[in-house]
Amino acid sequence: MQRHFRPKLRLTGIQWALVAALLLEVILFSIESPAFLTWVNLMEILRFSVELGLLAVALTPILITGGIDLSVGSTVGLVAVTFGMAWQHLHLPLLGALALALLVGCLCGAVNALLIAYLDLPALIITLGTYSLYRGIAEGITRASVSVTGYPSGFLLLGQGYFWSIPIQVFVFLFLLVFYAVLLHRSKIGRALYAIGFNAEGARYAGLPVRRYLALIYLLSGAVSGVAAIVYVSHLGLAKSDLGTGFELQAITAIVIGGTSVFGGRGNLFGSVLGLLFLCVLQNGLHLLAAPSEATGVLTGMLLIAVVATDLLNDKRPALSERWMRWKKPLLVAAGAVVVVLAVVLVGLERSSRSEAGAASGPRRPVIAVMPKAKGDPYFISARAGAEQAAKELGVDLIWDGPTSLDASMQNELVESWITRGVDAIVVAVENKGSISTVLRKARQHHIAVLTWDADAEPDARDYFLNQATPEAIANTLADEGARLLNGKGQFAIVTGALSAENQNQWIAFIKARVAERYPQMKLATVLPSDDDRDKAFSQTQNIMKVYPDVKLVIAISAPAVPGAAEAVQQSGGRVDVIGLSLPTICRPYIHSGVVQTIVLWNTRDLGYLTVYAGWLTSQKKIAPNATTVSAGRLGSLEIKGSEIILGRPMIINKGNIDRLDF
Amino acid sequence: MNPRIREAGLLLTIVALMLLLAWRTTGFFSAANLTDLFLANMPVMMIAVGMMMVILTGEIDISVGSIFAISSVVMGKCASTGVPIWLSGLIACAVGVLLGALNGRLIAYVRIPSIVATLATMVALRDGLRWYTQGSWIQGLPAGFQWFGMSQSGFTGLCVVAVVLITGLTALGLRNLRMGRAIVATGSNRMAACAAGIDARRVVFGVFAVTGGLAGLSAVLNSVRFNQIPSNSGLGLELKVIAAVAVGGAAITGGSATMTGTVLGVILLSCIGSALTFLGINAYWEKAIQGGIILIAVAADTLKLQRRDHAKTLPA
Amino acid sequence: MPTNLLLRASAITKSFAGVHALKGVSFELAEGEVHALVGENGAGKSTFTRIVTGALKADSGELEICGQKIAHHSPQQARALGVAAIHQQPLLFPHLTVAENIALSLENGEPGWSVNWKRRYEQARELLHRVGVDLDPKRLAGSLSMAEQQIVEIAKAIGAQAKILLMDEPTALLTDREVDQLFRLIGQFRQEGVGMVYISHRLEEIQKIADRITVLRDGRTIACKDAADVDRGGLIELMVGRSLASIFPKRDVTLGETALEVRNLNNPRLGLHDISFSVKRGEILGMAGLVGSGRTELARTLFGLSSCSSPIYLNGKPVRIGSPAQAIGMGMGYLPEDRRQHGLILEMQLDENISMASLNEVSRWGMVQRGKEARQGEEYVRELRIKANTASVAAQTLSGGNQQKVALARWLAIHPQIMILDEPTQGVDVGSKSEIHELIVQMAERGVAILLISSELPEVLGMCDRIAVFRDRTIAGTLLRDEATQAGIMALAFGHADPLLQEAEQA
Repeated sequence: MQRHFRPKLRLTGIQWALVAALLLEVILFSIESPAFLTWVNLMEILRFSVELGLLAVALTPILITGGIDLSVGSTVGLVAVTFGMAWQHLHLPLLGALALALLVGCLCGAVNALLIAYLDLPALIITLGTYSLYRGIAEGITRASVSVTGYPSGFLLLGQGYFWSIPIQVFVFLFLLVFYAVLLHRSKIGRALYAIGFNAEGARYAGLPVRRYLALIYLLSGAVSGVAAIVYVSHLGLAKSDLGTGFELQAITAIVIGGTSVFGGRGNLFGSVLGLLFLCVLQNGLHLLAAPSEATGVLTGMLLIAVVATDLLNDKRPALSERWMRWKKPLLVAAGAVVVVLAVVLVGLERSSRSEAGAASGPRRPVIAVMPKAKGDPYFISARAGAEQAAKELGVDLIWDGPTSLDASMQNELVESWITRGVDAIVVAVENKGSISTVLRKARQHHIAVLTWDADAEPDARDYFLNQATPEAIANTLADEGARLLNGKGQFAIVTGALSAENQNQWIAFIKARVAERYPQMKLATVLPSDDDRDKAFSQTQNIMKVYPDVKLVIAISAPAVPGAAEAVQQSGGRVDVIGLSLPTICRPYIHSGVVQTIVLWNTRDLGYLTVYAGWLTSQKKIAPNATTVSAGRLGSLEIKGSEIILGRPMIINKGNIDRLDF
Repeated sequence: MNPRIREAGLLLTIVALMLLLAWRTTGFFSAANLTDLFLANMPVMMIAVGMMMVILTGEIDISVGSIFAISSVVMGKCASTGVPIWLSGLIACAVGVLLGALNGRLIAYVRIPSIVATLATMVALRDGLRWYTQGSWIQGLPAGFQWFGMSQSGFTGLCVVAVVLITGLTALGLRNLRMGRAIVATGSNRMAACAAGIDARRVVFGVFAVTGGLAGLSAVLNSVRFNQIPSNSGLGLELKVIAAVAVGGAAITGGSATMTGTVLGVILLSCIGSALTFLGINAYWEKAIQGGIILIAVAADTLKLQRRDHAKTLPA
Repeated sequence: MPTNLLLRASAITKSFAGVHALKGVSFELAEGEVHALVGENGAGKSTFTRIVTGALKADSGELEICGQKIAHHSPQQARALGVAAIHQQPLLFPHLTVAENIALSLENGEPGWSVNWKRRYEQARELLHRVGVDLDPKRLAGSLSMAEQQIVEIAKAIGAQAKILLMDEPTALLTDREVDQLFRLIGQFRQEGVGMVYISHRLEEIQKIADRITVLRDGRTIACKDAADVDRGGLIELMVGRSLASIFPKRDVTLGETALEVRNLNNPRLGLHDISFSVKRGEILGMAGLVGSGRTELARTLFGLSSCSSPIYLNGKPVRIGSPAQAIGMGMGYLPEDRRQHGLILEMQLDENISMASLNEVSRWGMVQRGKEARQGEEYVRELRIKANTASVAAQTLSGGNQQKVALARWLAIHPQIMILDEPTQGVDVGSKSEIHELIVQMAERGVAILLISSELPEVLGMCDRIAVFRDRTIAGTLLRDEATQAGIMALAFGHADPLLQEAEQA
């Protein structure tokens, strides 16, 4: 006879494998990087897991009922901007704004609950709809461009402060975790949720209030997403409509890795937490090892398949079980082995590439860490070439890593891991001023040289800003160039990157100001987003030409948008001029064919060179406090204005000079 | 649910939108605009055909955007290294089929739930591509690359023929080929399908491979519209496609979907974005409106459900 | 029988996860023979049929079909050899038409890649005509009633021109008229030389049509006898290994107050109209009628699974029941017809299944007290003699009869005042069946008012104090225990205009 009492919350085979893999991961990373296994770093991992963790906790019961909620990431965005706007634009007191924002979170959950639980509609499609709807409303009410910063320090404590050297939001997470654990694994409701997951009709016949409980968990998921949004805003010090993008899939990944079945009925909260920790440790460890960010995605994908496949083989299906029983243990080991092997391969790759880069070994070489806004952007890719050149010249190690797409939180996370790693200089292209300054100040406290490039942080958060050209200068140059082409009068349109991209919105504002001031006869017809996608810029420009026939000039202010717009003009054979901000390489054919008149840019390769050179100089304290010039290798002597190192004026690139530029 | 009601509803919505556009704007119905609209949404339409079959079998594929991106890059890499363009296109399509087959393998034979398997391949393939290309675009494509060396209108004609053939033949095949009926049967009742001697695993494997192939083909046709290839194309494509198929009335549980509905769903969703620009409505609201359409389309079903008659018959 | 052997199986064994399902089963089927296969649930009947149809592979033993030795075959090969099966639960494609459902199972004969729709519809019409029903072949299978779906299954088997026809409880969902139709078809097949394996729990049916009867018990062949040589009592003895004293343990109970009363109940959504009846404490009210005559619909309405505006009188007070939770709160329990879909959560443990409708009783402050729940589960497992080592095994590991006892235990645990039992013994083996009958009688003795829905007329006649007969979604008439006969019930169930009535009365 078995014991009568058997707690629900016990480890399944796959979860044991996950525990083992997690331990291996920790051991591996602490061997490779001494900074990994420190209290401070572990706490940072926790801090960065909280927002995702809250969503994973809220989604677990939903997956257990066989449902899904894809709208949680969008809810985070909507609640965040509601909170920010209510506080800053409606001038509500902070607590009032908080209440309103949480109410909006509940409302988001309630819409899902109503449609899924009471109208019996498929959760996947409904939440796909609200995924788009909530993000759309967030973008609509902020016109995608507002980002609210400047919160009182008391509020920021929630996301940035410590209590007994534990990040404060961890307590929020623990509280909700316990709440959900009791709900799911101890209460009547949790029991009913499992029954619903196995067989919803059967649960209804047993008299369980199926609809009410389903509604409850979708409602709670909205509310918890709201809490996650508030924590996130406080953590970043910023509320913006694109917060939480992609969180839903990351949370689902963590849950599924933790052994919860998407078909419902099977799984538990412990697995979700385990899956979450596993992913967050993996990400942090890879950052510390300076492995490229893309590795995380590749590893996560493979792991997901390995884990679920292993779990399936353990499935006690009558036809299979006999054969697989014998293989059970080796397979569990295999799941762990997959992770370890992958990690080892990665580390090996990374080491070999590093030792190749720095052939001349000697005393410890300085490490300069440079971060672009987005790694895939052609603009930053061309800067990287310059950075590598400088690193070679100076004999320093270069870490070049950044988010794969615009992501303020990811930037913070990377800087944190660089601080832990103990680099000599950090050079950041700032995505969002408000959110990154705190962590940069922390880096300075750790005596790391901090510089910013491309866009600046708060002046006190960095040593120098590498000023390639101010937003105002770029905007003015573009406006002046446009006015020259239009002879000062007529309509023009702007194709921007993402509607929520901060520096592009800045440029638009300065262009508007310049036009209003100097060229009153010029009129801005429309601003359309291209989502940094060449194809979308292409069709947007086609639309502009048809809807606004008076537009004679398109200003495209995102690197992929210029060739997109140019191709549209070229294919239509229309007489519209294209100017913009882009790279010579991808615009060369259009400049030659005369579709693109001018692109405005500085020498990105020189800028990349300067990031490493100036980072090295600053870390070696080779710039005197009151110097007005600095000698930067092959760039010669550059001017220092206050705490800004000036690269030069923006270049105007046209037919005349494009073939002399190789970036 | 009688699919005809949904199709009629969609058609009415589209007609209403068209009337609004005809009344308030000029130029929307110009040949040039319709051509542009068609070309811009050709990938969505093609992949929607595959996605419809995947959903018919009761599965889902969220990796099509990543497959699209990889096929684009493969196409460019081949063409820029001197492989003949037609061969590059074939190779890119083959890569699409291969990646689709990988999905199919994981789902049909390893029995990983499709949403998990394609989530994994979506993330892994996308980041793998980023890692490999480091974000750089493919340039230096040969002279005859754009439009396969044809004229622009000739190429457009080719695309129209391709889309009409794919949708038409798939619709006919689903209705009249034993293979097509096997797809519907598998989604309708997996156990009964096995009992009827249908190899359900092969069917599922097949639809994923076909969907991968269609993603590859649409990537090829989309790439040759330009003379350089970005490495991050197709972001969010999967959601557009799934939304269109769902709006078209496909039951996410499988067994029920129509080609007419899917085509109408694609038309409605792809017109919205452009229509907003023509109507002068701010682009900020586009996502919200698309989300609203999905919700209304799906929720409309329940309203009709209340008045359904008992004898469901399928017009022959 | 001297004619050719169609099927010969000898010493077939099969085990699942170390548990033997078949331990040396031997079986023969000759041309033109109806060979019944009987046994309690879990005796191995279904496993054996699945091996013959190629859905499972035997571990050892010999299988010979039409003189051909078979080592390992697929469902397709089995079909090609002329094996067809009619399952207890129709296995159809709900999104496809009747014609396609039939055609898909016959595709072996269809040439080419494409579908000949005209031929499919003609073929379907012809086959349905042969079965003797008028069903539009263009209707979607999902819109058919269960009985109609079973008829399509039969049409499929006819179309396959099977030489060997396996029928697993084919009459479970059929009305008596359709059963007669089926038996006529079986007679026809016999003439054509088709061999039929007939599995059923309805022994009277078996005695009516079978030539030979093979009894399985615990995966072994116990006996193979000519149908003429064995009576019902003998069969039951062979099946359970012991003799059953009396089949129906109904005892007289003094009736109490009226517990449940319904006056002119209408539920347009389910088509119910003008239903009036009452049931007293301790009384068992039988509900007979054809499948689809409104009995299950009434049960669903009473239990709050389908909303309805007519009031229901509980102990004389009018109440409205909007949900099963409310119904349970008022002391009502409902054992649904479909055990696997509605009666149990198969993946969950016995104790969890048992406490599911009475979670409040094992909970404190909304938290489930696992210890208390497990103790309650063990108690019921012991009390109802459920064959399980412990209450913490999943319900799906039990046989049908034991599962049904667990489903019943769930409702015993709420201590109901009114209990609705919908086909409580359908698909249940003989041993469990009489145990369930005993439990029903015990409930009545405790003063529970019971509504017993059953399609098995002997059960209704043997168990009930009064019998309400349904026709066209209302009560056609109510008979007292003493005045009720099978013929009388059928007369009410069919209505007097029915030509089959005379036939039934003669029988």
